[in-house]
Amino acid sequence: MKRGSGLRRCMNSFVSSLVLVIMLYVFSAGTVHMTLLKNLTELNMNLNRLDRQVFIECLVMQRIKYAAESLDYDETPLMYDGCTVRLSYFFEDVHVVYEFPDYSLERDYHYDLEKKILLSGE
Amino acid sequence: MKNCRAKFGVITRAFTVTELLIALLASYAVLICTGGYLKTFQKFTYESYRTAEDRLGIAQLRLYLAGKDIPLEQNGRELRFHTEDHDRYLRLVNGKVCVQDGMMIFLYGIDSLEFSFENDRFWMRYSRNKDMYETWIGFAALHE
Repeated sequence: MKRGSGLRRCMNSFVSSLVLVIMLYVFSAGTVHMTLLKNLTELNMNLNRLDRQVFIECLVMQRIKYAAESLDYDETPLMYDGCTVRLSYFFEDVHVVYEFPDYSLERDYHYDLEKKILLSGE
Repeated sequence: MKNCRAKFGVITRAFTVTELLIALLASYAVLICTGGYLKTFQKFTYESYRTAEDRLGIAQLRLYLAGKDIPLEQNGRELRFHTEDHDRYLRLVNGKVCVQDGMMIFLYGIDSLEFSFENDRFWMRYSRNKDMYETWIGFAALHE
């Protein structure tokens, strides 16, 4: 038996086991990680959309408070960051339609003139 | 000849054990590297979900405060605002940002909290694990 063949066999064994473990890792854990990363990206996108929506809702609520306190019931549609907001006043109640480029939603608000509080509901 | 065969058998067995040991060592080395990466990844996902949780809480807080009457004069440590029946306070209680009197909790695991009013907005600064965060939480009334 030659002296170098033992070392070669050891090296082969080392490399093959290394490749095997890496392959196992790539095919199992890698898939899980990719799914997790995809979910995180999707979550982040939804949170950005929520942030934008909440920002516009807060602005509209301020506008309604101002309208109720100053009796300036202007129903001209508002434009905020690509979103069209349509307000319909009916005494102390306000119906609001938010039209975002990809979806729309409706909200009803009630302004309590006595307590100067705006109450929101779905 | 017999002696030579015996010697050869010992060498083969020795090589098999060595191969096994090397394979185990290689797997162990890769697992250590993977373990380190997994730990980092776990930390990353934990922080991402914590951030997401915070962002959801802040969105709820913004909507909650949007209809309320918030005076501009605040003491910094808590945010006073007026609701349907009486004044309420947004403050830090046992690491939680919550409304008192009330049962609404918006953020968890907070070390410090302070409020300020700048550029027509109310701002909240909070720290968690030595990291500082700053976010707006409400607008000043349009007529003020």
